[in-house]
Order: sequence, then C-alpha cells, then structure tokens
Amino acid sequence: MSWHERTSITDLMVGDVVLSYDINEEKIIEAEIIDRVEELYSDGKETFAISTGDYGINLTIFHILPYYRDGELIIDNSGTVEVGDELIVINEDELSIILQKVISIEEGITDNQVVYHPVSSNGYYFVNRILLHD
Amino acid sequence: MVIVHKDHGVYSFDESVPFHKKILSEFYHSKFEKTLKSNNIPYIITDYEDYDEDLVGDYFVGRFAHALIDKELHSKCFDKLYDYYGEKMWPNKKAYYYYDDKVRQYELLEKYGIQVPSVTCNDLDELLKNVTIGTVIKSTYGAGSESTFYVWEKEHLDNIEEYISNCYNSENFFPCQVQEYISTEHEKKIVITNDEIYGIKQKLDVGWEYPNHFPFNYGDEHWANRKGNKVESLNEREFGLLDTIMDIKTELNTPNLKFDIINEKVIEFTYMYGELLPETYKYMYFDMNTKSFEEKVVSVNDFAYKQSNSVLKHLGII
Repeated sequence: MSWHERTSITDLMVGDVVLSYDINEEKIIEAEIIDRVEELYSDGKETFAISTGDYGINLTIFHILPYYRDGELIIDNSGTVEVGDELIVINEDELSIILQKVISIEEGITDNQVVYHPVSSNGYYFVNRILLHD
Repeated sequence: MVIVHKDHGVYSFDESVPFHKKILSEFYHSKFEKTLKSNNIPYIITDYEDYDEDLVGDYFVGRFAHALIDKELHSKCFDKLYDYYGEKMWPNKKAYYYYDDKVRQYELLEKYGIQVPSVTCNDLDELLKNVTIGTVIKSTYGAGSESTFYVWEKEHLDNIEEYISNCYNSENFFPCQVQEYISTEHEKKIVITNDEIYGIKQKLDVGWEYPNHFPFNYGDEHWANRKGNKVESLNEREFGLLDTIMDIKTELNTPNLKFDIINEKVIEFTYMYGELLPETYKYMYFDMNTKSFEEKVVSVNDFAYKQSNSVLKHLGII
C-alpha cells in the first residue's frame, strides 16, 4: 500500500489514488479517482448526519453506502440507515476495518449547494473513515 | 420458461449518471434476470432477431418503449408476440397500444371523465386552424415532453412549423392535441405498482425561454441525469382519483401505471416509467390490500425493482 494522507473530498482530482475497500474480497485496496461529478440538488432535500460516536458523516438522501444489519450486508441509500446498523470504518494507521454501530442520526435539509462526487475506479472510498459508495 | 427481451441500447446512460440513478435506471432485462435467477426460474434473454423464428417459452417480458429506433423494431413484432403469448406477456395488447398514443389515451380518459379537454389535429392545416395564444400542443407520440410546445405570445403563431421541427419525432408529429394551458404550481404523478399507489407532486417551471422548453427548462442533459424541480411526497388528502386509477388498471390488466395529473385531470398515463427517485426520505402510499395509507422509508434497492417485480407477480411467475 502506498504512502497516504488525509485530504478533503472536494480536493480530490482525477488520477489521485485513494484508499478503498473491496466489498466482495473484504479487503482494503487502492482505487483511482476516475471522474469528478458536480451536482446541484433541488432545495429542500433531506440530509442525514450519521454518527458512530467516534466518527460521523453528513449525507444527502441520494448517497449510497454499505452497512450491516443483523449481520447482513446492505448497500442502499442513506435514508434507510437506522440507529444500531453497523458502518464499515477504516483504521488508517493499521489499514484494517472495523464495524461501528450508528448511535445517532440527525435529519436536516439541503441548502441548494453544489455537491461534489469524486468517482473511484471500484466505486467506493472512505469519507471521515466511513466507507461510502461514490 | 420466461422469455426476457433485451433492452435496446438506446436506453443506456453514460457513466456520469449518479450511482443511485444507475441502480434505478438499470436495464429492465437485467432486473428481470436478477429476480428470475434468485428464484431459480428458467429464462432466456432474447432480442428482435429471435422473433423472426418460431416463438418459444410460456411468458414474455420486455421493455417496448418510445425511442424511435426501438419503436420501429417492436412495432413490427408486437402483434406476432401477443398472438403467441397473449396475456402472459408484458406489455399486453391494451397497455402497448395505449402507450405512446395520447390521442387514444384521451378516448379512455374521457370515458372516466378525467381527461384534459383537447382538440385533435391530424395535420398541419388542422393545427394552424386550432392553435391560439395560450395553448399547448402535444404530439400523440413521445415521452418526457420531447414533443410538446407552448404558444404564449403572438409571434409564436408564425413559427409553429419550427417548433414541430424541434421535436424528436418531427417527421411523424401528427396527430397532435391542442389543449388550453393550465396555470398551476404543481404537477402530480401517481404510480400504481405492487398493489401500492405512490404519489408525488413536482413544482412546475414558469418563464420558459422558448416554446419547446415547456413545461420544464431542461437543457441537453441525459434524461437520467436531469436535476428536476422540487419533488414532494403527496399527503393523504392530495392523492385523489384513487378509485379511477384502480379501475383503469383493472381495465388494462397491466401491473404498473403512472399518471401525470394537473388539477385532477390526467394529462397522460404510461404502462412503464422511470422509477420514482428517492427525492424524499419517506413516501406516503395507499395500500390496495388494506385500503389504508401507510408511510415507507425510500430504499433505492426496493424502488429499483418495484416495476419489474410487479410484472413478474402479475404474470404469476413469482
């Protein structure tokens, strides 16, 4: 695995290499940023501030993420995540994966800003250490 | 054995489409295939060239939609397919022949008293006699407003042929309908699928730059990538027309229908449609079995398969 550092998701550019995760093989891999999509969502869409206590992430209704519920892997949009579901979180020092339970979800509303979606070669990357589909 | 028609490539989309739309807008044949495979039901994927041969199988499911290049192909083989599979086919004959034919739909909607008053014009001369300022002109063919324009000022009346030429089906625009423009804030879309009825309302644009931009000021974006105006789930009081919609579904004997509605009048309906997007966290829906309204958290995976699974259930395959 190459040397790596944290960066803002909005700074990612095509050609950058990010830490990612192979859902089927269940291992951390490197993936390349292959595109960068900018979207302007309609106003008044729900957002979800999902927290595991240690880590948190703010998502719009459109974001897709993998999570576990009762041991079953689910890949679905953020609105389906419930308190008690387990997110896939990276320990970037040890390059290992842990599952962390969601302890709180706060609903909010979008404010019509442009949202950046870097696209990775395998479709996944970590944001605030939490695995997210691009 | 289920015969699954392979979607025409014209319905594909590029990689810039966000992931949730890719899930929702995946090819119908891929969705059918996944469900059939997971239920261990035998199937084969077929294409137009296969329909020249002797037909096989017990059931047929296929996306026969409005894109001209696809329509040219499926219009040639539909009758042969229906003669063989009958009501074990999706779309069935009624759904297919009402689809992409607003003039024909008008006759059905009129029977139920929910039509938008329209004058049908069979050629340009008839259209020029009937078009006035404040009217909307719609080809009987087309989806997504690709063959619609709105005449709101005098100079537009001199350029009717130009607006027709901008339509995707300019060579085959007639018959068309002339309707009075209805000023309203929202358009409702009501979907009946899987014994559930969902409803949303979408804010309509005002202030179009050009007659062909009506009713939404979309640019050149791919249909799967359009931003769209604000969408909200209908609340219980806003649904309306439930009994009529269920009656039309029964009459057409088709598993899914989407109705576009303004002021409780149906603009058009279709047996297949782009899946409802997760535009909102929860959708209110009417459960046809319990006859009550319920609320459901929107799941992209759930919504992506509603139409295809509803088709397979309707045909008794799953």
